Amino acid sequence: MGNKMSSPKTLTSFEKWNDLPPEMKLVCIDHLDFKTRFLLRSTSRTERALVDAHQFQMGHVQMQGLLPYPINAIIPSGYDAQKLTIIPSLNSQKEIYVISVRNATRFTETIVPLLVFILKTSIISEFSIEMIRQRDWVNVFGNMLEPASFRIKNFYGVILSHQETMFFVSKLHSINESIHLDANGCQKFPMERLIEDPAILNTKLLGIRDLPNKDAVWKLAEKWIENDSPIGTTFRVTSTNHRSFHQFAVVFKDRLISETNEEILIKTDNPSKHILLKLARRCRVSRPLICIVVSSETKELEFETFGKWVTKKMMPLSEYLSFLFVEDMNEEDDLNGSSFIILMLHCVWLLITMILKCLFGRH
Amino acid sequence: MSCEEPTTSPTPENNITVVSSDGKEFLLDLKLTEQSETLARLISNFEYDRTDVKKDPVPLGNITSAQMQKIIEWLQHHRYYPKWEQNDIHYSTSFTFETWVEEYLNIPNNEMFELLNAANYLNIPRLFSTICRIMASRITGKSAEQIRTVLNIKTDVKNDVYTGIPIQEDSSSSEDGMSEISLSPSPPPI
Repeated sequence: MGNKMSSPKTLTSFEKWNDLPPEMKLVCIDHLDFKTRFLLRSTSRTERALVDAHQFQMGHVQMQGLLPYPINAIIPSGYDAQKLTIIPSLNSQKEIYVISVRNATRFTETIVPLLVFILKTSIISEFSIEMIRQRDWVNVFGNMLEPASFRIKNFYGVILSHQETMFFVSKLHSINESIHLDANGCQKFPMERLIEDPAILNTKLLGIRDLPNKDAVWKLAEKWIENDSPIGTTFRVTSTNHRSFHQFAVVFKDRLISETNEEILIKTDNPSKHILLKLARRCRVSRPLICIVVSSETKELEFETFGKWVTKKMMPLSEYLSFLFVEDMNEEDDLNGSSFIILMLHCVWLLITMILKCLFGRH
Repeated sequence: MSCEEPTTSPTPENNITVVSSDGKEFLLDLKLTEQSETLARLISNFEYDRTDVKKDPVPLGNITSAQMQKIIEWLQHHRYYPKWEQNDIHYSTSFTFETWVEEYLNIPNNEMFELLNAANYLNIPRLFSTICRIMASRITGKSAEQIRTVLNIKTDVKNDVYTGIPIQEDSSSSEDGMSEISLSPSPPPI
């Protein structure tokens, strides 16, 4: 007997499906791709309950604006067009769904139920969600989602409002591996409330961009000491207040082991663990800091490896434009020359639209 | 995957007798029973793998002789295959099967159903998973209505579980890859 492979030709139907016990149906559902599962749940109440009760793995889910930041921030359109990208498996990117929405009705009828379904039923490796203008995700989802119910391994909250940030963080389940947030340079970023959240405390990696709170680093480090957080627990932060670094040494002066211009090492209550604060490689206007729980046996030479992290920074438009004209673009920056050209083209397009409106009017 | 023809035949020392629900006896090589977790556990518990232990016939009350014959055919074909790994179970966007498997499972639906139950009862994971994959292949890529037809599902969906809103098929969009997906309107308070 050979091992020749072929697709099934004669198999067309299986009317005994309804006679199968739920556990056998679930094994069959295990073999279905995301789309077929979703379609199956719309065939009957029984199938819906079955699919909804069964958690499945999801590779990447991203909800983003059609225009990249900061371009979308200057387009005064009535509705911020959105794109939902779903990649069920990160290993095989053959199956990719992209749903674009350009009106509010389709958003509420298509995107929201689909997102709720995904968030309720899947274990997602990467989930990224952006702020949408004129809407608040907290209101969009309402009471449809339970606290600590998102099984998201890596969460990316891109330019969310503080209320939205707190909303999503409160929904994260403890299986979380990393949380990436934007503070948008806002002094009122709810850092103190965030560090009380179990998801933030238990995540292996917390990344916050444009965080001005000078006390964020040491307050989180205090929590780590209190909770005896595991080795490797990391906090990456950019654009933090320039006093953060030295204040860290002042606050933990009783625990201080060593201090240089780029590194501060402190003791924790657990003799096998230390906490290292290190200035990471400086990039543009950002001031990246990394705070990490390290083994007390880690050699000083190894500290350098923790600093090899460069922020991919979102920055306010004014800040972006200001250094565009004074510094060269770097490949490592998110915003490069091509994005600047796109920005300029959009500005030209806006200008033409405004001129045409003035000349001919709406009537 | 190796797929050599079996070269040994059962001898009284290395086989057990199983009895189907209709009273027919089958002599099974102990090597074959390793693929069935139910039989393997039973053999281990009663120490039937020892030559000095008297082996009583094993009654299989849920398996008919026709099903047993079909299962033995499967066990013999996969005799030299590596042990089934749970990791082998994963969804696939395309379904391909060995020609032998396709022919083996080219059977009426009621027989397929009985074979699935037998595979579940005897806990033969490779057979069980293969039948489930065959079933999954029948509905993959089909619309909700086609799935209902293929699986003979009578719809009873009235309201969306998330929103409580009556279900309406949404087939208006064609700009994306999910156009056939049936989505319920769910106007949350905005």
